[in-house]
Amino acid sequence: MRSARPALTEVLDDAVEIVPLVALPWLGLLWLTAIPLRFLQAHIIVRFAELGPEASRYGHHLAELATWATLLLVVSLWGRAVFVRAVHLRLRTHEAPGAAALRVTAPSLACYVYAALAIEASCYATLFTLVSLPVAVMLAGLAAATTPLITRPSLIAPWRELLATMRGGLVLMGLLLVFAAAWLLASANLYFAFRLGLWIAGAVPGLDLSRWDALLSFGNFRFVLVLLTGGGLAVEPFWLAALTLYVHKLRARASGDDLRLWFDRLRSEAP
Amino acid sequence: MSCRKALCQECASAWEGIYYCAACVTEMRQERGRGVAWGGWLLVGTAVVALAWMHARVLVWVGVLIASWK
Repeated sequence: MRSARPALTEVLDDAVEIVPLVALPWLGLLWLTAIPLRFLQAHIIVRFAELGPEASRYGHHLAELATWATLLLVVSLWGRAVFVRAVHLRLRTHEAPGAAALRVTAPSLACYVYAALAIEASCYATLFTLVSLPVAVMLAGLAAATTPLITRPSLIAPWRELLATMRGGLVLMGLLLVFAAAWLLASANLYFAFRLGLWIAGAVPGLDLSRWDALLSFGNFRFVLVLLTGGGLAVEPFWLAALTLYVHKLRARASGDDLRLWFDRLRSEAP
Repeated sequence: MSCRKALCQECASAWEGIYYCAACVTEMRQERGRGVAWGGWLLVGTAVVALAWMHARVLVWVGVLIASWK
């Protein structure tokens, strides 16, 4: 008798397998839509850090940046919805999703934008409590993963779908911890990649790299943010794929659909 | 799947890549035939605009609060 909840290792293994299968071109679209937002967010943090107590005097400039961040967030949400749909279609059909991945239905996209904006605004409002950030990351990821399941515009449907996925709380916590570690590791790898590039460039005669050495060090707050942003971008597709797989497996086991898909796969693999 | 019933292979029908029972598919077809759900769109559209406005304001407000908290 199998558990109604998918195992953490099973979800992670399948996520690592499925991302390369949908990577072309949907991973590129995900990054193209996410990169402007992530770097703008990093820039906003730097601006706040630079302005310090004087920040309240630059309300107009900061409001302008925040408005751009909101607009770019909506663009990145579309990219996330397309990527999740590509993973979802791949899971269902075992074939490359093609242009069908772009056909995210209007109700599901609108409900996703609504839920994601609510989650992110609540996260900012409660940023002082240290738990709000991981909770928001989890809820935003699940909101993306449940996007293909929403068929009509509703204020309640996204939350109902989110609640339905909360049954496997421990698995979700495990996923969050694994991906937090992966994010830090990816950021550390990026740091070593930059340092390696600097070391190789040091072999060029007559090139003064002392300024670059200072810029590409942990003493530079902007560089640290770039590393964390890059690490986040590297991990994001796997995070979304893992949550989509988790939602898919949870629902498939509840309905017996997993057996139907298993038989389909056996049939297609038979000589 | 939206009614969360357990389905056998014969009873499941695919609708945009998701498997539903016959009753749910019928309901969705009728829904599509009925036209646009204006009420739902109005509510979601208003919520999105309001939340987008709030999102930008909250970001600035919290940022200023944290930046001046030294």
